[in-house]
Amino acid sequence: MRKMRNSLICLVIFFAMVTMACQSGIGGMSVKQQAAWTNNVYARQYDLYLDQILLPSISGSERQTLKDNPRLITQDMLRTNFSKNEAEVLKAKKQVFTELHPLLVTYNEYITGGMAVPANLEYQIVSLINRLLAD
Amino acid sequence: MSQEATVNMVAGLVSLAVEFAAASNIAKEDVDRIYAESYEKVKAKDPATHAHPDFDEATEGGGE
Repeated sequence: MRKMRNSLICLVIFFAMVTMACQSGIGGMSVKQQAAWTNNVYARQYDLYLDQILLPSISGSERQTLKDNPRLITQDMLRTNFSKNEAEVLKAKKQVFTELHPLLVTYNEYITGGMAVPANLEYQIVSLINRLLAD
Repeated sequence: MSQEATVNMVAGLVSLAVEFAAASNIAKEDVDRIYAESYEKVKAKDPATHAHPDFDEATEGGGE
């Protein structure tokens, strides 16, 4: 009887640990981890884009401030001449960012609201991120 | 299995479960913080909110 009771206690503890493991997302990235990864890819790519459009004379902490808060970027801070190829690539990137940003905000609203993200939204975001990374 | 061995085993499992729960909570807080920071970055990096070069007009001179 005592042996059975001890076995039952061990079993309960084991299942409690398995449940905690599942909740913490072990065995794969959790939804928030995936979202953080997606957000960070976007942010990193955006920083690279800003590095390419900002005047080379802007450097150091000022450049970092502009990356952290791009609203501060004004026309006089931007490069004014690009090679044709460079201009095409950067124009395409700007287009992707313009399409991707509202989708990513919507995606994050689903995540923060604890709702399932629609598959077509995820598909659109992945496609656009692939385009960003391909350029 | 002796009673003492059983008690030790249960105590070991309980301490493991407690440690695991603590580690899970820390990890979850980290994920929440990292996620929140990443979303703030996305919100800040809105291409509609700042100036961009006019790429159609900015190709003279063949680049810098």
